[in-house]
Amino acid sequence: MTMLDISSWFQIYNHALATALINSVMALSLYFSLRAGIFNLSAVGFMALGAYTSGIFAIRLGTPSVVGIGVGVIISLIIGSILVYPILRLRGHYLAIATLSFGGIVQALALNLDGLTNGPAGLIGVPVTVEVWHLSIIVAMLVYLAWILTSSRTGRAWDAIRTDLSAARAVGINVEHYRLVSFLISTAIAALGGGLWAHVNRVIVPFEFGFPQLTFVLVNTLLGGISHPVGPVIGAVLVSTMPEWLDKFEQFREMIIGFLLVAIVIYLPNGLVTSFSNFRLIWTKVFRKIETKPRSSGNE
Amino acid sequence: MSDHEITKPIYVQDIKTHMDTKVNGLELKAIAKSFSGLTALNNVSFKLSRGAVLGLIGPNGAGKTTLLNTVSGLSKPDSGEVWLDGVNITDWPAHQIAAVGGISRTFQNIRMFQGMTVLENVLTGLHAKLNSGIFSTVFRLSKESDEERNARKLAMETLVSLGLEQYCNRQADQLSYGIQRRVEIARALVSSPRLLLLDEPTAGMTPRETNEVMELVQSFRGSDLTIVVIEHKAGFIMNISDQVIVLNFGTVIANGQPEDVRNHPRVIEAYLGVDDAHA
Repeated sequence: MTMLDISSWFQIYNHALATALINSVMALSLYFSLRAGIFNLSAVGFMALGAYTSGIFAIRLGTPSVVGIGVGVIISLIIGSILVYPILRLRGHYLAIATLSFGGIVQALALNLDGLTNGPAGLIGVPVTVEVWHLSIIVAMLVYLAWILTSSRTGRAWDAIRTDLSAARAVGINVEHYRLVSFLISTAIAALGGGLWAHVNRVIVPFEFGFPQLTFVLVNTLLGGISHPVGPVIGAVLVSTMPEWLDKFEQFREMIIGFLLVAIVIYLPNGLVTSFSNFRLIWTKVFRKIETKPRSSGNE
Repeated sequence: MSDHEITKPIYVQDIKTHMDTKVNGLELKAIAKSFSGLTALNNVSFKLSRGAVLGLIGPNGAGKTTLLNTVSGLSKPDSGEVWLDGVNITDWPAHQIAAVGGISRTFQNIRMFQGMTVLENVLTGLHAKLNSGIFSTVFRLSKESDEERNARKLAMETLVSLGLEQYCNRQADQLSYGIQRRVEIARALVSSPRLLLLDEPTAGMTPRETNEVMELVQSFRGSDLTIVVIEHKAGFIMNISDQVIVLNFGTVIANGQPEDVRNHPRVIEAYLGVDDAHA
């Protein structure tokens, strides 16, 4: 493959690659809240908030992209920390419905605040300043963040809360604090993803931030699984490049994704990437079986 | 086995300075709790001096587990007070009772953190003794890595003292019942608590495993650790307890030395029923 081939390949797939990486950011946003057992469906709402904020800043005020994206994250964090108190009093389905309604509210605002968001027509002409390499670095940093937190005291507290709330309290974990932190990290990453998306896609339309997008993000995260931070990224890349494989089925894309979600929940509840410790367990099991076959199993 | 001494980490902040140490041990004052009309606990009061082992017995549904939940803060009493070492902890949130009060517990139906290894489960038991937050983790401060290394060492020492070291990298919820119970005890002990609440620690265990738990509890005799044990095995309770309390329908019907309680007419009545001819 010559240099020319590689560069033209990048030109053709640039947008697809950027989209896959943005979807990875969104999937990682969901990873943080799912890890702490919060079935948080507000990520797409915060994505819209981040996208519109950075779009409005770039078009109407002409500020550099970094400013718009940063302000979007800060606004989302402020709104998130107000929302977090009523939301985190809820559990399970109730929490899911409450967070889902937030996405609906943001979408309705985007549709109706014509002066600010240009209504259903959307914001057009956001400068394309975010490149694939920016996104790659951001995704790598987020995976690192997720990985290092997962194996720390904070990550253990999240895991404990996810699996058994009462037992977590009984070992002295301040459940409310850790759930709040996880929700806010998730919120900030979602807004970051939205801001980046605005500067990749050039156009921001309210319909992009509806229920189908939410299902899409959920499929990404659940396909890869939350047992390892790489999971959501792998899920996002696989699903985002799917339309390319299934060119002829373009109009069935949402239907396929719906089926996929059901199939994952039934057949792959832990996702494609199960934790490395599990993998190691299976490996040692197989390996030891071969190794210790002649010996009797004297070990208790 | 002087493991309790080993399990005291160097970096633990001395929480006892905050407490009035003149009144030692656990004291319950007129605890009442009912669940939508059903009285689970009715005017339960007792004192337990520091370092003593209390055996809590009673027929099924007598309110034993509710009593432990009240002490550990997982459910709040309708009225009454819980005092630990001279401090009223009734209104403290559960995590504070565990972290600051130093009360650890195990559960009747084992509650392992699913998907985590044995070592990670025990490390989670140390949560309140560690300080590292998100900032120190993300920027890999040396403070954090030292703390983590010490914590792992301490968790391993606790596992060794309970004979569980060979399981440290196994997924906790996939181990046998008896081993899970011991891991749960390790998770409760690793934080060197002041009060340990054991809810049927030998349920479903083999006689040999039961003896191991009995030896473990007896090894704390003479230390500062106060222990409350719920158990149905009479021999076990009579062997390990300094004090035995019998609950029936949420009421204390006997409280005293094991021998006295065993022969108490109301205890015999609660377990065996009353003979109509003599009633």
